[in-house]
Amino acid sequence: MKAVIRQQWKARYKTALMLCGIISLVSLSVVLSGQGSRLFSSNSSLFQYWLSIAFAAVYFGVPVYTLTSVITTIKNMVFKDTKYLMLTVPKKSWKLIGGRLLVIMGELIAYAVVMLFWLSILFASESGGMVSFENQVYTSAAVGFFGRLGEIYSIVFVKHIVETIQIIPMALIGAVFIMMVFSFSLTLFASIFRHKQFPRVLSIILVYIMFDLTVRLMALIFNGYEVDAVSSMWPPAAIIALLACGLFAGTCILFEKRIEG
Amino acid sequence: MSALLDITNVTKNYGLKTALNNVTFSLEKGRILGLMGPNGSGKTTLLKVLSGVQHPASGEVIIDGKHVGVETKAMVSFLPDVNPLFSWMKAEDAIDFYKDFFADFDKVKCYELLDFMKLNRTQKVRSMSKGMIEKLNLSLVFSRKARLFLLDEPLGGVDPVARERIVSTIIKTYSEDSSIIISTHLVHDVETIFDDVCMINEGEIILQGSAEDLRSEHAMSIDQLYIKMFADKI
Repeated sequence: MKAVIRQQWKARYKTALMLCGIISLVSLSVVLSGQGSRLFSSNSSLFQYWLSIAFAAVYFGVPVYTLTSVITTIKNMVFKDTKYLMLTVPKKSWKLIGGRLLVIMGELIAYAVVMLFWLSILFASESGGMVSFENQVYTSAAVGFFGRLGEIYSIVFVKHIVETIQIIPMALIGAVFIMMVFSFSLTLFASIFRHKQFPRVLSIILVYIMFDLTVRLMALIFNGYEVDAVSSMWPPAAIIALLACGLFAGTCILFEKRIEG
Repeated sequence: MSALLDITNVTKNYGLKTALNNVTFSLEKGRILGLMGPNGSGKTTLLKVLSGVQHPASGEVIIDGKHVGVETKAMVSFLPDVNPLFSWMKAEDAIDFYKDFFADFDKVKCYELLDFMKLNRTQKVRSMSKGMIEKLNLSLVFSRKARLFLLDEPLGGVDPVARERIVSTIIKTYSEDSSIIISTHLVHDVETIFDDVCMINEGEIILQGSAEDLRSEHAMSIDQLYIKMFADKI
C-alpha cells in the first residue's frame, strides 16, 4: 500500500498545498481587514460582501471538493484511459482503493487543521472575543489577542479534551462514510455500465439514492433516540462506521469480481 | 519448449456483441507472435483479457501456470492502444510510478531507452506529441523484465523514423525467457520479427501457425497473406 499512497500523494500534493495557501490567504484577508464579526451581515459593503463569499466558498468548498475527489479517483481507475495503468499494477484492489482514500483523508485532515487554526486566529483577533459571534460559540473574558487565543486552545484541548477526543474520530467516520458512498456508488455504476462513457447524471442520481437510503435507515434505527452529550453520538457513529466498512468491502469486491480481470 | 501462455475457449461479450468467440491458442517461451486482424476483430479485447483489465465471459487463460490475476499482472507488461499515463506526469514521474509498482522494472534501462528514443525526461506528458507518448510508453513497458509483453498497435500513428526505433526496441528486448504478442494491422513493418502469426476476425481465430511455415505453405509474405485473408472481409 506504501506505493499506492506515495503515488497518490505525488498526484495530489500540489493541489493540497495550493488549497492550504488559498485557505490561509482568504483567512488572513478576513483577519487583517478586521471584518470577521461582520461577515455575512445583512448591511455589508461590497468588500464585505465579496469577502463573505470568498470565505464561504473556501470553508465550504474545499472540504466538499476534497470529498468529491474520490469520484475523480474512481473515474481514473474505471472510466478513463488511465485505467490501463491502474488496473494492470499487481496490487489487490483493497490496497489500490484504500491507499488512495487514505491520502484523500489525510488531505482532508490537513485542510481541517489549517481551517481550525485560522478560525482560532479569527476568533481571537476580534476585540470583543467571541462575544461578537452573538454568544453562540463562546464568550471570552480574556484580554488581548494572545490571551484570547490561549483561552480558546485551553477550552478545546484542556477543559473539553474529552469531547474533543470524541469529536475528532466521529468527524473522520462521517468523512470516510461520505467517501465510501461516492466510491461504492461509482463502482457499482461502473460494474453495470462498464463500456459506456462516464454517466455523470445517472451517477449523481445513484449517489443521491445511496445517501437517501442511509439517512432513512439511520432515522429508522434511531427513531426516538435522544442526543444529550457528545458520548451519546457514539451508537450512530458506530453504525455509520460499520456501513462505511461494508461499502468499502463492497467497492473492493465489485472491483475484483466485475471490473478487474 | 513449454507454453508460457495457454488460452482455452475464451469468450467475451459486450452486451449482445461477441468480441471473442471460443478463442484457443498457446504461445511458447521466447516467441514473438503477430496478432493480426482488421479493426474490431477482437485483438484489443484479447489483449485486455490477457493483461487482466477485463474478465472473459467464459474460458481459461493461464500465464506461466497461473490464472490471470495479481500474480500474472506482475509478469505481464501491457502497452495499450491509448495513452494510460496521467497528463500531469513528467517522463520521470511515469518512471517513478513503474518503479513503485513493478518489482521487475529497470530504471537504468528505461533512462537508456528514453535517450535512445530521444525523449526528454523532464517533459510533461500533456506537452508530448502522439509519437512521443507512444515511445515513452514503449520505453516504460520494455524496461520491465516481464515474462509476457502485450503490445496493442505499437506502430499506430507514429512516423516512419519512430516506427523504426520502436521495432529496434522490440528486437533489443527479445529474450528467450519472455514472449511478445504484437497486435497490428501494419503487418508490413513488423512481419520480419514474427515467429508466429495469429489472424483473428470477428472474434474468431481464422489462421494461426509459425510465420515461416505460413510463408512457405502459401508462397507469399505474411503481409500478402494478410491482404488475401482479409481482402473480402474489410
